[in-house]
Amino acid sequence: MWPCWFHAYLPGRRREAAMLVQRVVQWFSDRAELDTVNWLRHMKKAFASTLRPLTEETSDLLVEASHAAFFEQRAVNAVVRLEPHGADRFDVLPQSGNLIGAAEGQVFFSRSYLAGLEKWLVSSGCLFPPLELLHPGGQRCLGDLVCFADDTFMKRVVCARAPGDLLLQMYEDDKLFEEALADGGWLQNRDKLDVVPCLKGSMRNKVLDAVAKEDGCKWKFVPHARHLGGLFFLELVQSQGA
Amino acid sequence: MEIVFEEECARMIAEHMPLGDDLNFSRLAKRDLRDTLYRMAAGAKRQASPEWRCPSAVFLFSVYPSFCSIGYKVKSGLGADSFVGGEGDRFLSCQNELQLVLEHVHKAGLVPLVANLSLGFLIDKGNGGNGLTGQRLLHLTCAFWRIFSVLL
Repeated sequence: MWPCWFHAYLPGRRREAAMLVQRVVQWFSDRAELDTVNWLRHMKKAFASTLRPLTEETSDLLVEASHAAFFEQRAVNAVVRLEPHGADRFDVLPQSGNLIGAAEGQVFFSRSYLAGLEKWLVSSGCLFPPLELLHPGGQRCLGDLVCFADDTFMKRVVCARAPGDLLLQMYEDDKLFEEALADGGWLQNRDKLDVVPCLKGSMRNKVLDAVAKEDGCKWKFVPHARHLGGLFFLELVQSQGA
Repeated sequence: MEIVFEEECARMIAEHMPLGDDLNFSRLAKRDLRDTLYRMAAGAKRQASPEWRCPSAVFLFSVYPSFCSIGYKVKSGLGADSFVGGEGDRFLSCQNELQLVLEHVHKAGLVPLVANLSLGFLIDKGNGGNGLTGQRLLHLTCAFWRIFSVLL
């Protein structure tokens, strides 16, 4: 039920593992001399925005049928009482999402959000080749995606040589991401979107950045970015690998 | 739609009362109460609490007074949960009352409205945004019902 690339709210799934997986995969892809583009996405509308039908589906999936009524009542009857400074107290009836203080909220959100991400993976599967890790036990795991709560780190293996072609693929991928998650009521925070290109060859990263700027793209192409509190950049991975 | 209180009560009684005493519900209620109290005792006792509930420590003192382990047996006063005829009777009575509430919750499939009530706090996000974009909403809910729902 929970894919290996999800790293939050569950026993044994920790933030450090999410950071480590990306560093290891980057080291492997560097050794294999693969061109990659790393996307670090954050959400603007996440926990409190999950549409109610999705929450109900998740409730049916995760909770026993005899207990599902309790969570349905929480979704319908939830009231948030606010007491602002200098104003009268008032009540708000949330129409979507989960209360962040509620115990089941994170798990319900995660399950719904994973369904959206899986939809995106299927729809964007033809754009970039998948990056899979082979477990010593024989299992194949997705190595290019790490999700921690609502933060996703996606590593795309690039086959296109021309920066223009690559940019078109990236536009399409981003559009599919938005569409897949919009169905659940979520929205990407574009102000926090970071793209770390790791293209082999001198100046290719800078050329990609220049072409994107010329095209009017507002993404931030950066040499390093903060991922789950740690700093992710190519040189660090290379030095650690060496 | 106008709701007539008496009619609504009569409807609820007619709907749920015929279930009668069911040992399964009693067993579920007993298990839930025990697990919830254990979890509350083991967890952090929050100082802050909404106005419709008492703080966790006070609640535990009244319902599960032996939550704080001590080196000797208390025979009287606060914490004497096994002393028959003394304060302990009152604590056991609290537990029984609470167990009846949980039994009814399982029987009726309904939780009290306060279980879904949250006290919200708006704190500054620190991103320089104005209005709601610059604020984060924190929720403070009843710990008992929160843990009850975790254990379901």
